[in-house]
Amino acid sequence: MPSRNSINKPKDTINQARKRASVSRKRAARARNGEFAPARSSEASTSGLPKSTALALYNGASQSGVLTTKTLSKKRSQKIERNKKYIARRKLDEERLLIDAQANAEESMHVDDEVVKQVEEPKKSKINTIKDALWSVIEDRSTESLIVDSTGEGTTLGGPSFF
Amino acid sequence: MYTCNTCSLQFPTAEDQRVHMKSDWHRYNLKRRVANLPAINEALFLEKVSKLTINEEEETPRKEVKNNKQITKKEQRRIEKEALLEKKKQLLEIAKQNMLKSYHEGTLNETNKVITSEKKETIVKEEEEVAKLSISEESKEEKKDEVENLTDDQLAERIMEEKLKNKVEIPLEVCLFCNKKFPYFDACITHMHKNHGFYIPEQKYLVDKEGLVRYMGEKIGLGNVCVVCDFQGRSIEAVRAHMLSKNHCRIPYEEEDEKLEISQFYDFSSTYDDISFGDDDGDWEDVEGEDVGDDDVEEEEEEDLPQQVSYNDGVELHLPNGTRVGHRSLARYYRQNLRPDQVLTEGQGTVIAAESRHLMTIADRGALLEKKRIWKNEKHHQDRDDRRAAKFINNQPHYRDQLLQ
Amino acid sequence: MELAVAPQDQDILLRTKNVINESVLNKYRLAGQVSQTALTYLTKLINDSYHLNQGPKLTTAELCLVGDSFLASYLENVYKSGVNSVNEKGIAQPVTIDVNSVNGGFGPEIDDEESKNFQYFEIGDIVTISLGCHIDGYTANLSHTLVIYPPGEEKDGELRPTGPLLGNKADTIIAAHIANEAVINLLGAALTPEKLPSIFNNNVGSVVTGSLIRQIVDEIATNFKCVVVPGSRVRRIRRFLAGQSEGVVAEKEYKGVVWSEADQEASLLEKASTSQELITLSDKQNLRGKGINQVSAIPTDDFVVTPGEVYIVDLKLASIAEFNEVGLVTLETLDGYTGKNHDKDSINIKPSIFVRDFAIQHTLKLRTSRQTLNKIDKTRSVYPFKLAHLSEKFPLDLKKLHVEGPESIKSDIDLVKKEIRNARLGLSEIINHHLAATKNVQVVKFLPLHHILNTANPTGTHGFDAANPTLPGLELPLPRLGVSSLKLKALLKKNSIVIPVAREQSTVVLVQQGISTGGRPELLRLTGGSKTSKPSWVHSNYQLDESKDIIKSLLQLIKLGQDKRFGINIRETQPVKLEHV
Repeated sequence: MPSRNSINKPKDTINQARKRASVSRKRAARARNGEFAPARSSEASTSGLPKSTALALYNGASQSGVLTTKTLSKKRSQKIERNKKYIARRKLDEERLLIDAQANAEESMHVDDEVVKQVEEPKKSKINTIKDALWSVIEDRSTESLIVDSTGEGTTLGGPSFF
Repeated sequence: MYTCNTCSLQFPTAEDQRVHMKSDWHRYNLKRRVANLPAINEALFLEKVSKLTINEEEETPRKEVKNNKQITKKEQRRIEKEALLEKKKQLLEIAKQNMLKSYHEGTLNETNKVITSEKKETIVKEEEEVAKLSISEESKEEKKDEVENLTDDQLAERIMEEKLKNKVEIPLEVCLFCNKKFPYFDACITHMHKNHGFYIPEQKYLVDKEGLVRYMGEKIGLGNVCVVCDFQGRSIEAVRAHMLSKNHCRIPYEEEDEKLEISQFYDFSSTYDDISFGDDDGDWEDVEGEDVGDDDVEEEEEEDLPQQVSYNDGVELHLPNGTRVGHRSLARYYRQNLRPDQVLTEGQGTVIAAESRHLMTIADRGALLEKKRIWKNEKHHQDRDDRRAAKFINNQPHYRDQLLQ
Repeated sequence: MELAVAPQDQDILLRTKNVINESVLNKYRLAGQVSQTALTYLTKLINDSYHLNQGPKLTTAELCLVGDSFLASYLENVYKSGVNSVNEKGIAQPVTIDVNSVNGGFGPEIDDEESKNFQYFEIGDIVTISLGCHIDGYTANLSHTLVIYPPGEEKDGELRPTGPLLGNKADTIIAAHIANEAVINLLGAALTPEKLPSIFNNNVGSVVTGSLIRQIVDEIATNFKCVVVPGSRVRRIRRFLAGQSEGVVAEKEYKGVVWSEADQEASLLEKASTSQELITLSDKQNLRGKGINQVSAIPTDDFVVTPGEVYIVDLKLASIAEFNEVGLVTLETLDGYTGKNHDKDSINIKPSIFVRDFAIQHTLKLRTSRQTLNKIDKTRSVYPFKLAHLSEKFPLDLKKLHVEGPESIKSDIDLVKKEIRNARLGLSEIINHHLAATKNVQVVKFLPLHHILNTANPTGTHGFDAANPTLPGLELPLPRLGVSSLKLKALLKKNSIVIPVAREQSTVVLVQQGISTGGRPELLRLTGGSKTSKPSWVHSNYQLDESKDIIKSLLQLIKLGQDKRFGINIRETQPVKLEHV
């Protein structure tokens, strides 16, 4: 830690640390004196109170696992609550359906027709059709493998002289 | 046979013609001719005149009444004073015109170079009478409404009469300022130049020196007006005293109207060739530089046709020597230094003619400017943020004590 | 500010001045003669130094400069004074000497350091000489491909090559020659359409159309396993519009067949096409005319060759027989930086030929650039130029060169070098402001098709290569695959193989009846022909497949061209004997 007189002293850090220390000192003193809440101007005032009250205090589920310092917002907890309701209902429906199906199956043991799935070929874009066509040209060419040299005597131009 | 081309008339005698030339009708027709309008006959002219006078009679009193309601007494007095001054000025103007007229007549018939003062006086008087008549007519009309005005008019009349009475004819051989007499005219001029600083400007182009001096003499002798400033003395002595004390013994030749005032005694036509358009057409600006190429050709032609007149096509004045003179109001355009038109060779022309590209132009200059400003602003902000952020970067990996360095 | 030419002037410049009459024909003829003579001169120089071992061995840059000097000094003395004097005459195509795979534009400046690895030709090289000149805008361009043979043997008191050139280079030379002759015969047949073989008649009647020209050239190329290289064209030229600034200027009423990568793509698709859909897709015409505003500036094949026009037949062919795979023949532009490494063999050339773009106006900042631009505008008309042309010492004194040897003009060449250096400084600003466009040096490359098909092309058709302007309507090299020129350029870098190219270019005038000397309509061949552009001794294993109808008719047509009395009347401009110059 650089000295206070250093040119490079981390001013912000020092200031924050000092502030934090003084605040915590005060808080500790209050706690020692048995005052758990600071003096307030009125009953309704919430100043100085921790911002979030619900410290992983969600009670919907059994407390298992680790305790985290993560807080849940009110909105979030409501959402979880709501989703749980939906899940329960879905489960109920599924069970009922399963029972119905079983009953049906028991009633008439018919064999299902095999469902022929229409596999939809993705519609080719114009460029893809062209690409396919060109690939086919390449394949044709490589199957030729042997280049047939031209028969006949070929062509000769010019005569035996420089220019 | 004596004729008048303007009014298309014939006269049996020269006397008749002269009388006609002096008539208002003829003058009116002259003005019409200048304005490119056909001449009118006498009956129509008289009708017009009568109409005008009636209108004036009708309008003037009403105006007076209307105005009277709002004007305070003080202002009224001031207005009256102004009116009086205006009339005085008119009278002076008439006097000046008379002088010029006599002068012109003098030049026209060269035998009568010197006009007798009596003759001049008669003409002057005639004119004055006309003026007086008109003034008195006016005053008569005003009589009905106002009493005070009457006295003013009379005052003006009286002043005019006094002036004419006091009129001093200054001969050419007499100094304008100290009334000294000299044996001949040139000696007088040198005296005035040496002792009073009476410098005659642009003597090179001066054609009628005597006329100029006579005109100045008239100004002093008849009008009792200082040649330089607006001062008007009660008598010729007062004016002379003023001029001598203030050293106002020169011919003012700086302002345009000053130049115009005496321009008739000068002849600048010899300077037209080298285009110093000087004083009698100060309103025109020279734009010779515009077509240097044309000049050479046209000047050559000009030698054959010296009588070619200058003409004005509404925008530019074309002088006979080929120079074009543009109006001053367009000076900023003439002053523009535009790139000369690119002359394409045949090959370049062909390529351009066959070209069908449309080169992109900036669609909206304003929008582009706006966009550029925004970009500049953004860059500025970014730079500023960078600068601020850089303040808190500790680039030094290890502590180094300054004292130990 | 945009330049414009009044409509009546346009009519004069584009139509009246292009009507073939006696004086115009004379100018064309003289221009052709000058070009022909210059070609014989250059051929002689190369022949002397490489085959006969006489005279000095000039480098490519020197050959170019000497060739340009020849053209310029010859032209100085024609149409000089009197009633017939013309304002503009000069070099229409600076001498370029392209070796093997170089497609065009290789005419290095005398002080070019980058080209010093390519100063001399090797045995077995094929060398294309291109040049051209114009008198009053009436232009005659030519190109001819020669072969550099191994040392010859003495036979009949003359040094002769030991044997013909074989292999793919020979194929390309033969194909280019035959195609050129065939097209010229076809153009000649346009004068007397009744002599056109009946198989060439199309729905319009017996006329020579652009599509017919393309069909025949493509047919000849496939017979010799060649591909028509993109940029080849058979086009009508006009006064001052000899295709010198294709890509720069979008020329109105473009009339000509132009080969591009799109045509190769189409023919490949034709091979594969089974379904109707693909056939319509491979139709060559339907892709033209998109993306540009002026329809008439876009080259199409549906035009009819009419008498009284002048054509340039400029065909470049490259053989793909050696490749056992399908691919695309395309061009790669060499900038001064391509492949800049320690590889001595990679061609690394700065472009040295530029063409002025008059539509763009800009006031330059540097004094040297303004001076250079002034000089260009004053002396160089609308045709491509090299910096050496702007020099005071240009044209070089060739008499001195031949009488006293190359040492005598060394000081002149040094002066030219110095002036080039000064002009180059100014030129960079001119180029940066697009007042002039560079004529790029390009090499012909073979790109296997599977590389194109496998490539990811997320940007699609966006992105034109501004450094390589094309004719309007041909901006997209592979329009059906949607591969842009930039993508193609990127693909070329790694996967392509350089292939040799042969080029034959000639200018022909279709003289109508009444104006020609014989009274019959005749085709006046300004450049090329048996005298100057005689093919070198080459042999190919391939030949024209005479079982095909189209080839049969073509051979019939060529026979007609040789028949002086009843066939197509073709007259060639002869070069002046070098001793007289």
